[in-house]
Amino acid sequence: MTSRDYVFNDEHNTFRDTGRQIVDKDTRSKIDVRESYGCHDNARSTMWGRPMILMNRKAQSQGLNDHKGANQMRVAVIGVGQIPSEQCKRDVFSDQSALISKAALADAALDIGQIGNVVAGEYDLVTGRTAEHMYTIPASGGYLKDEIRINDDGLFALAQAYMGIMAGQFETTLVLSTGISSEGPQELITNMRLSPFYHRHLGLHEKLANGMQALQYRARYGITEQQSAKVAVKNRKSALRNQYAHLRKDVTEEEVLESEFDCWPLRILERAPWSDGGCAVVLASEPLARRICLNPVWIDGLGWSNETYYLEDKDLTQLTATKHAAQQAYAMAGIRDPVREIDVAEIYDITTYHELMAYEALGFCTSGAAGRLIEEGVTDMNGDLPVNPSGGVLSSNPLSASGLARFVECVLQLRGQANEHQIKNARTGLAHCITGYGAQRSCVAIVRR
Amino acid sequence: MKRVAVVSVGQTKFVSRRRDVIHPELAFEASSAALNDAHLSIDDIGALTMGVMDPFDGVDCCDRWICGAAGGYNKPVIRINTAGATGMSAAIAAYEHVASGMFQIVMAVSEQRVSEPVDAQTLLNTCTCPYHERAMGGSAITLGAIPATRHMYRYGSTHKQRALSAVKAHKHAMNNPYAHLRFEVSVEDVLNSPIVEWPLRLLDCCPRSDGAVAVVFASEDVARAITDRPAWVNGVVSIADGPFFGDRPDVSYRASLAIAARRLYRQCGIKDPLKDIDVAELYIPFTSLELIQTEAYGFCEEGKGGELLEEGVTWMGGELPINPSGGVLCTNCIGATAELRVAEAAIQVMGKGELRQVPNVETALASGLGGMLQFHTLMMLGSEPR
Repeated sequence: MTSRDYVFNDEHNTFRDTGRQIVDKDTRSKIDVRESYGCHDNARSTMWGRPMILMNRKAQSQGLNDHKGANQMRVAVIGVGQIPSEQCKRDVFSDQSALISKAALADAALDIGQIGNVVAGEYDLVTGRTAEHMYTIPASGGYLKDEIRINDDGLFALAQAYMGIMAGQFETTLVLSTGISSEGPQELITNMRLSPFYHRHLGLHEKLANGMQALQYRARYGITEQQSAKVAVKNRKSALRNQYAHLRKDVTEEEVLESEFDCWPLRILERAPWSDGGCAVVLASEPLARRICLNPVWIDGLGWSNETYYLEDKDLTQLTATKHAAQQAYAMAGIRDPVREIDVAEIYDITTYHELMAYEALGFCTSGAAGRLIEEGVTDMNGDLPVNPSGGVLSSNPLSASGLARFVECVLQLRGQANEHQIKNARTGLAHCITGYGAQRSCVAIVRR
Repeated sequence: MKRVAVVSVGQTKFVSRRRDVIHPELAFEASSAALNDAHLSIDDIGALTMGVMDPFDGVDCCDRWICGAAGGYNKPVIRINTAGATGMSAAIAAYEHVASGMFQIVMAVSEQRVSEPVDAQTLLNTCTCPYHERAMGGSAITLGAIPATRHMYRYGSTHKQRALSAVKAHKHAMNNPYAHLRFEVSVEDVLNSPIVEWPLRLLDCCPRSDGAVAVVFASEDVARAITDRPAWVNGVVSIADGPFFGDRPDVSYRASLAIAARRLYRQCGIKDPLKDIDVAELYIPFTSLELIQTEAYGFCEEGKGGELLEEGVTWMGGELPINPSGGVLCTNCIGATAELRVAEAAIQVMGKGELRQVPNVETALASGLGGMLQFHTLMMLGSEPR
């Protein structure tokens, strides 16, 4: 049975009538639905009509659960979808959400009626509104479904969605992140994130803070401009092969080193652009994924952390939050030697220096050795541990969706569907994101085929 | 999958404007109160969820500033924002943290200083659609006013019935030392107060408060060791409706709210809500929403919400007291308000309500509403695990 053959009635999950009729219809259909087959109201408490224990036992008898304890459920990615990143999307932002969700659902071969809940990961204010999810969640198909919105990068939303499924609350979850950064002055908006007493009047914004981090990192570890330029060249070259990337133009080391300063010491080609785009992921519980998906990708490790907000209080050269997040994720996935065990990594390279700092925080090399790693070509497309074969955030940065996009790219790599930027035989992938001033927060996800 | 209980709550005193502390200190007050309440240290907390709604604090992504003081330094922190339902969503997220088995003890912290913006309603106006709705000047009060008018037209409810909701809330708030507005009002006072947006008068509406609240969730393995009487989370539901107010079939009856309530009752095995639920902490920022919610939750028949108030069923001492804390009509710190409902419901189940305690509470309902009456969240707490 292919996943497309798996069809069931979702009649009671679609409420098309007006107020009063819903009540009657729902009460009436309560019995029909429960008895006939597994489509459950709102995906709670039972697994497609059967008690959860039975499902687990079945999976166990087939030897499918042997990776962990018998009761330890896993969560699978059964569908991913994205839209191409651009400078400025012309359509309304909620239309983008609908497109993204459609793409992910088509990939999972599911109907929106078969989705239990929607988890959105978006920022407010970036599109000039508060409570942006008021429009994106219904547009993505969340109407009359369970919803929650994480006001951070989409990768955090993925973590929340993962826990919702592990908690037995839901069977299928749509994680959605619509990133529209063309609607507002992002420098001003990120300046608004600073505390009004000590920081805001300095005129800082996140890009400037990234520049401060880069400068300190360069000074401490003797990272050269050439090493930084190599990261840009590598990622922009990869982006050429990714049809969803925003900046698809090859650059040379000379071009990077001669490009204008954006905020010193960062040059224009060393930092991420602002893009419009977005992506979505469909997650499913293990028993269901085994039944309806031919190529599930499993979330085996998740970690996220938060360090101090105050730039002056922390060591800017270390991505401490990433370090903690990676520890949590590696422990969960049982990874001891990241370089050897991970086949492909998608890193949140908001600047070239942040990619290098992330190498160290993720344990790919010791502190200060990231420059050598890039020089030796370890993280090239053909290296031992390819990093950002999609082009990374340097090539497309749909704000708030950039982290989830890293995850989506990992999943595509593991499935062997990355087309021109495919890494051979990728079995374990790592997705990473950082948000906030001086990389205050970070989330790391490990996926396995 | 683990069963989850609320083991302690902490809240600040709510006032119009906290001049003596800044945002992180406010969050610190609430989270340390919650930790002290259960004799926990911050090291016991595995992760945090933060509920703050932008941009009422005057700082975008304010959680990043305050989460360190709330206890999130070098801990996993996830920040939730679902408009008015933010606090409850943060609580639900914390519940999922624990229920998934990933963490044992998780704290949900919500903070809001609604005194920061010059006009909160102008900010709320920016959440409406810029093409179709924003120019009309709709705001949160509109959400209370339009259903009130429609309810009066369709079911014949009266100004006086709605006024009773305000009278009840203010009477109850006298028992709550943390409440913001603590004065008694009469029906005449409400009916003579100035009109804010017809038919809602000043006393029909909630205030703007500064404050924070923290709730600690623990898994079944440790909950009983922390406290003798934890409040078990027996059901959580959230639901999203469409964003456009004009698209609703009838604004006087919230069909999506009724669906959410039914889903919750099914989870908790509640047949007759009025009898089975002992106390409810509902998100009632405008008096009209009390009528709409009591009807949607099945406490009374459709259109009879006003009569329920007149009969005194939902007053202290009645069959199902609603908002013994005074509720949102007396305290509204937007992002934290919905979590305050969870906290107050948990206080009732844990028997820590002191003056506002309803006797023998076994089941307590908490609700949160957000967006343009769009996001509804419900949580059922009980003295015994489901």
